[in-house]
Amino acid sequence: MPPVFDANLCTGCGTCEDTCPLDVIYMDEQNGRSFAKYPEECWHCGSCRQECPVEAIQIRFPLRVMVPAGVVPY
Amino acid sequence: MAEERLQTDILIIGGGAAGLNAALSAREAGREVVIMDKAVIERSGHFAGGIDHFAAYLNTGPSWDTREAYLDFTARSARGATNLEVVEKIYCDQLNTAIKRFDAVGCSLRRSDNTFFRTQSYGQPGPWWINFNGKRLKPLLGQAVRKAGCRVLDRVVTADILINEGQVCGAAGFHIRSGTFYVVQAKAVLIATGGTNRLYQNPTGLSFNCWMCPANTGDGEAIAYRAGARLANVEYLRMTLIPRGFSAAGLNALVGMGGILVNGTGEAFMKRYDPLGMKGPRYKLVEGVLGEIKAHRGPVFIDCRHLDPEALTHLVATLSYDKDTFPDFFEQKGIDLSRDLLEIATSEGMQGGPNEVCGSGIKIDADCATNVPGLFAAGNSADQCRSLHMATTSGIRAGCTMATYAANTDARGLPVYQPQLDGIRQRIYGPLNESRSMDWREFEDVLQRILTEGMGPVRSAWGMKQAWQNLDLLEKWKNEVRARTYHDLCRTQEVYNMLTVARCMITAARYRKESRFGQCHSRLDYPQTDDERWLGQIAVDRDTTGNPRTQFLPINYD
Ligand SMILES: Cc1cc2nc3c(=O)[nH]c(=O)nc-3n(C[C@H](O)[C@H](O)[C@H](O)COP(=O)(O)OP(=O)(O)OC[C@H]3O[C@@H](n4cnc5c(N)ncnc54)[C@H](O)[C@@H]3O)c2cc1C
Ligand code: SF4
Ligand code: SF4
Repeated sequence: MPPVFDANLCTGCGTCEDTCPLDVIYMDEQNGRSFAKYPEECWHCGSCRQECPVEAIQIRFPLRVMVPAGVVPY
Repeated sequence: MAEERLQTDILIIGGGAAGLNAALSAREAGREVVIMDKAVIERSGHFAGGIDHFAAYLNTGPSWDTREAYLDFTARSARGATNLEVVEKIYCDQLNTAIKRFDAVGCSLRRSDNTFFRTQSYGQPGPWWINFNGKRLKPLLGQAVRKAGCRVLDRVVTADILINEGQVCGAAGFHIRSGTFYVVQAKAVLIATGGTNRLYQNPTGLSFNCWMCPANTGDGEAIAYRAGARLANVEYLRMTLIPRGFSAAGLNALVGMGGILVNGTGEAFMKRYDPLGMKGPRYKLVEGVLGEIKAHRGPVFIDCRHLDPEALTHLVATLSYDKDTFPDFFEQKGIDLSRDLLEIATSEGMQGGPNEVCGSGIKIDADCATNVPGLFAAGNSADQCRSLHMATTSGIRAGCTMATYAANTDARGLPVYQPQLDGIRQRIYGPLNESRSMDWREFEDVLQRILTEGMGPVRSAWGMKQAWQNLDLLEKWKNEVRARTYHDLCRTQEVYNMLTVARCMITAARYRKESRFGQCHSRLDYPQTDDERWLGQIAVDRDTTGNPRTQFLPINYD
């Protein structure tokens, strides 16, 4: 589920947390790194990735976006 | 709960295109400004991740490139919903200032050679869409506003407007992380919360995978309605076309650059639905796709393979300005537009105005003022505004008129009325009560099912009555919704506000006994457009018992 954080790159600066319009991203109090606390509320807007200073964020679309089967519109 | 109190001349609710432009204009006029936003304004709202088109006529010579042509198109394409005197004052008169504002904040609409790249779509008479790289527009606007000396309350979601002696005197809200209660006293308040989304089921089942920003949930409309303001154009449904599965903005780029919709047999079918074909209005494109699928000629694709390499490069770039993650979607799906067809589907529905030049929401006059003294609205939450061009210009207009209003003796800056504040506090924090047990997601899911079933692209008196009755049942569960965090408390307020907007939407749609703007309001029982009876807006406001009531407001286009 988007976003995916690279724990090896993340410096824990907190920028992504402040850039999410949906309040998806929080900082883990234990390890000081960012994580998606509410991944199902991600809008795939890419703001967090654009602002991460060390390019530690990737966007990975959820399965239901990748395989949109089954719904007949109206 | 901790409480913070502030005082200002002008309070802006929602720091997006409209709100931040209003803030800059009000500061230029020397007023004190406070902005409340439920996120952090450098990356909040519809174009948090980027944006790529701005509609403008530029007076370059041809007759389509003029104010008259714009007003003529608006009158024809949004007939019955647009009010030209308002459009002229809030868009046409502010357009030059708006274009300069982009330069001033450092996100010019021009290319490096000082020219504009312009494209045409949606039935417009000429290439009015300026393509630009708006990926950093939001952070730049946010920084400009802070630099101008506005006080910004990030992550403070507004819950209600404060009224004293029939006049607006501020607003109250809470911080979505700490829960702190905020009370801001102000002489004038602007609502710029960006429209209503998440009202309809998403075909993927992912509610936040939606076309427009899922943080904009009609809060402003619901707040204004509770304060006695009138809403208008709220009966209309709005849909778009999306890459199947990924509810992203980008149709304008695909169509504007020359993409062609084809059905399962490879036939370009749009001429069957509109004489302008691919250059027809958005709702006609949606109608075409729905029609082909219903006729079992699906699936439907968009074909961009004929575009020359330069145009394709521009298209892919501009798609990524509009929706930053478009390239990731292509990559993860293995799609190359020069080689592959892109499967297209209709998006989830939303409450919205009929097209790109006319909105829905809080009814405003040419000053962006509402019927409640001291209350103003702009951007997608105002009934006349839609898209970046009108959000920007209406923001500029509202910033100026509010600055004048706040300096005037009419704005008395009354104190807040404590009993109202106590009531709001109780209402906001109620869902934290441990005796409640329902998740807001369940409430939202049922609300979306009701709207999708009864208020979709095919409406009838019977279906809408059933939707209304279902909302009555849903309403009984309202006090069951439990929030365990302040984040969830924000979501809970959102679903409550969506319910209010849904009520107003159904009320107006039931009242309008005709069809208008294709699937925006398509009634099985009244399939014709009836200008004789229905050329105008339906205003919805709250009666003394708290229920929505309607009034028809005719508009004369002669
Ligand atoms: C991905 C995308 C691309 C788009 N591309 C284009 C384009 O290329 N051209 C074009 O013309 N239009 C485009 N649009 C539409 C355009 O972005 C909007 O019309 C415009 O942003 C509307 O401005 P606004 O100020 O009304 O809303 P927004 O810019 O969304 O601002 C609303 C603000 O209100 C805040 N808010 C909401 N509720 C509350 C609350 N209760 N309390 C406090 N704050 C609140 C939100 O956080 C947000 O910051 C696009 C939209 C999207 C989603
Ligand atoms: S912005 Fe990047 S480095 Fe900073 S906390 Fe987020 S992921 Fe880590
Ligand atoms: S992609 Fe957008 S919505 Fe999703 S986590 Fe990043 S900033 Fe938040």
